[in-house]
Parts: sequence; structure tokens; C-alpha cells
Amino acid sequence: MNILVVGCGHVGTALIQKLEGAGHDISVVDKHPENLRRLSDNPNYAFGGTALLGDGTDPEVLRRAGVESCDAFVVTGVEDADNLMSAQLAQKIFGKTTVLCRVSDANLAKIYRERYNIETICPTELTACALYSALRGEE
Amino acid sequence: MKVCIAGGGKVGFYLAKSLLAHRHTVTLIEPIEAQCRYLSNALDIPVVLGNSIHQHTLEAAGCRECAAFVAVTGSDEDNLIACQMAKHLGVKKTVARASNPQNRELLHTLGVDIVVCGTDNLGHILEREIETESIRQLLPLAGGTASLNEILLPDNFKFAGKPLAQIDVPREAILVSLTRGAQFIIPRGDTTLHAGDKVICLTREDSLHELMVRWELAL
Repeated sequence: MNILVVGCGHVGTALIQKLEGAGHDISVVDKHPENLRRLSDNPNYAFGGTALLGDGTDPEVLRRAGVESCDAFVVTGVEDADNLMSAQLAQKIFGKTTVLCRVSDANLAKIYRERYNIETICPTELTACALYSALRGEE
Repeated sequence: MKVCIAGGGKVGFYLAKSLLAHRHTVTLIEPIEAQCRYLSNALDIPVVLGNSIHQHTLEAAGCRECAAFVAVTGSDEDNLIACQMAKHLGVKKTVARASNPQNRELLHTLGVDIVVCGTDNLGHILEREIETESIRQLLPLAGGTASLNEILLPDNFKFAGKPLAQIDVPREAILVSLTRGAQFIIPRGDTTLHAGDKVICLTREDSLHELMVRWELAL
């Protein structure tokens, strides 16, 4: 699959390494050059995709990163508003059907999932669940 | 009318001030504590400390009872999400400021009722300053994206004496009427235009510029 990833922080980088390991073609966009540099931080891994410096909420940047031909669009940044705007562009402007979006605020994640039909992933909820089940496992 | 403003910078502050002067009820949302204190002292209105994309902040600012919600933070993304959340809480009319001109259309497509672009409007004002020789805006429409204008045709008018049907007019411009001396004319395809005619013209902002170019008016 061709996958376009917006955001190359800790989460984005870890996700990209997993996806490349599974044989997918990755294109990544981030507005901070120091984030893109993360891709070459790991001595046991060489990034083989395309990295583009630019704003993930700018349709022109997304176009240059290949949004029109990608099979999946994944937003991993830390700012909820930026992430939700990127995801909506992919879905409403570029007509993408597989759009995943990281949203830290649980309530925002729920509302955009229900009202705007965006598949939101909430790290806050996931962490809480993981901690909870780990504790239950201890009992 | 009850209005909630997200973003207590200069734009938010002066907007609140002018709404209060027109006897509207205003609440503000601002994420920086010191700025909140300054705003509530200066304006004597409720100021909520928080991020305007979060539901509890919007609710604390009384968003559910507001007739209008205006997002004027420096981030177009925050303004979009804040407006969408306000819509979700039942606000009828949402207005967002777009710093990036290309976001004007985008934010509107994504559900914001009115998008105001400062950079863009400033550009139009400057353009208008240059074009005032032969053109006068009578009425701005659709949040400044269209307007009704009066154009005075110059002595060297390119299409003087030609019937309207043969004159190049952009698709999104309509010639409403013309005055020639004391004579009032509703223009049709066979109406001829002459130097000195005053043409009332309804256009989109970009097609007004296009018309000026095609008619070689004062550029």
C-alpha cells in the first residue's frame, strides 16, 4: 500500500518504521525539519520513502506528497486541531476513504468520530485502557 | 445578541469592544492567563481561560446560548475546529478568521458560515485604492467576496461604441444598469457603451479585477 503519514514525531516515526518493515511505501509530511531528521536517528534502520517538509493542513503540500494516489492517510501529529483539519482535507477535499487521525482529547475524538465520520484514535484512552488492563492482570 | 469570541488578541479585543458598543452580550475565550486578566479588567465581561477547541471551555463560555460564534485566534486550524465544535453545540452562525488566504474557501467548504481573511481584505483595499480613479464600491456582499460597483467609463474606453454582446465581460460579473447623463438604461445585448457612461456592475471580487484588466481600466 501507498501510505501518506502526516506528522513525524515519536508516534509518526515509530509507525513509519513498522509500516516500512511490513513492505509498505511511505510518504511523510512534517512542518518541522528536526522531526523529519528523526527518520535517520536509528542506526539499524534506513528510511526508504519520501519525506516532505511542509504544512499538513495545506492542500498543495498534501498534493505534492501524493495524497491523490495514496491508499491510506494517517495523521499522527500532537495538535488536535491541526490533525483534524488534515484528516478532513483528505476525506472531504481529496475523497480518501481510509483516513486515520490521532486526537488526544477524548471528547473531540468521540465527536469527530460520530459527527464527522473520521476514524479517530485517542492515545489518552488507549493508554488508560492499557494501564487498566495491566492492573487487572496484576490482581 | 449573545456572541462568543475565541481568541483574545488584538482582533478579539477590538471586536469585543465594538460589539459591546453596539449593545451585544459578549464572552471571550483566551488560553493565556495573564491576557485573560487583562481582558476581563479592560472590557468588564466574562473571559474563560482555555483552549477554544475543547467542549468544556466552549460550554463554560456559554456557547450553547450564543447566536453567533467568532474564532479569531492566530491559527486557522484552531479557528476551524472551534467553529465546528460551536456548530456541534448548536450555534447558528459561525465566523472564522483565516490568516492564509487559501483557507478562506477551504474553511467555508468544511462548514464555517463566514470566513474573513485579513491578508486578503487588505490586498483588496490596497487594490481598490489604486483602482478608485474609475471605480467606486457601492455595496460589499457575501462577507466581502462580492460587491456592487459603479464604474465610470474613461475617455479612451476600449469598447466605446460597441454593443454589449461584443464586449468581453467575465462570467461572474453582471452589468446591472447604466446612466448616461440623465438617461437611465437597463443594458441588453444590443446596448452600446460609451465614454462617460456610469455602469453599475455586480461582481465577485476576483472577477471585478478581471473586468478591470479586460476593459483596460486604470491599472
